[in-house]
Amino acid sequence: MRKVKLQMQMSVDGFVGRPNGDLDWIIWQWDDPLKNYVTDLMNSIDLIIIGRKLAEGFIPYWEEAAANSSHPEYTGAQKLAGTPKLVFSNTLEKSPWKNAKIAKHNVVDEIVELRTQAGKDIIVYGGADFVSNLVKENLIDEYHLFINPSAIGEGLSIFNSVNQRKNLNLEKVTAFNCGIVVIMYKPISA
Amino acid sequence: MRKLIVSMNVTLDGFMSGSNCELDWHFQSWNQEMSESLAQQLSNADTILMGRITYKAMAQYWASSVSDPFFPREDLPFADMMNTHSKIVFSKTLKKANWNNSKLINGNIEFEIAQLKYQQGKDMIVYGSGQLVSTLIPLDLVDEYQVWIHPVILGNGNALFKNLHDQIKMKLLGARTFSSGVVRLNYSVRS
Repeated sequence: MRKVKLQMQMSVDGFVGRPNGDLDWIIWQWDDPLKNYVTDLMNSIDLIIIGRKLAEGFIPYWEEAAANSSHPEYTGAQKLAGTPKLVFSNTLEKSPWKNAKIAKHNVVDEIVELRTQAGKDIIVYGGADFVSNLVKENLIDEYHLFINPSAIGEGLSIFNSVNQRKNLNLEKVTAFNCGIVVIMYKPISA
Repeated sequence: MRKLIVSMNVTLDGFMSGSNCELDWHFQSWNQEMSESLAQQLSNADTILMGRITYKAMAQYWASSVSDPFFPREDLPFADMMNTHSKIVFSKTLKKANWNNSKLINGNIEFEIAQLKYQQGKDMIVYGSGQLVSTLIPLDLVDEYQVWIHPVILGNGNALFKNLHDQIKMKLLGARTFSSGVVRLNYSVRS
């Protein structure tokens, strides 16, 4: 069965953005092993699921980068722009973007069905509200959390919808020289 | 100058305890390997800082360990350090601190910590003491964090990092994984 993988930047204190969404606390000077980790994740998937709010910035940004061969992240951009996306929205009926469809059903039904379809795995990069709902509904099969060396004290959370304690299984910890530690968890199956 | 180290157990969502002060999630993922690592850590320090509530709980527990024939043998070296290390208790209400080698401080915390840092000796470590830690962090008095991240999400609770006037930038010193699912991340604070 296809897995839903979460790749998310996080502060030491568990936030994924400042209250206004700012990501200025994130380290972007990744070392090669971390770049390889991300490439491996990207090669394991053939679908991106994304909330509408993040899609509005994410999709045009990578489209533009993919069209510009001098962009520093040109190769990654090609892959991101070329990967089909499923956008979850309460307001949009039709996708204004290339390679993107609007989901027809609610997120639980949609993901339950996607998992049974043939294909590679599925990845989600955010945003906070969208992921928060996936966490609450137990729809994440692998958490790849990129812990950045900063505490920001307040901000956006992907855990604040959890209303019943949730235990996870620690699978793997990788510390990178650039200061990021990737912690990988899987849910505890019922 | 000696360092002030905060060693704290937290949930994946950054809480030191639940909203009703629950700590039971500590015990489900604590193991002997972690106790040994904690003892190693404590041997690099010679002073323990604590608040009133943690002091009262610890003083009773560790002071009685030496005369308790059923106390686990493997924890005795740790108990010995707890009893012999210097303890500095920060409280405005406590009248006296009788536990061996304890000192009560109720004055200005910034001044007192600065004094302690300039004294000769090994590092100082803060255990538990959520309220004390919440005072030390926004005053930029912490030099190192050892954050024990437990594999649990509570959804709400008492955050370790709060009331920050600014982002705390850190340098990763190391990461250690325990078989119980806990990850300890060590950071120094960048000035």
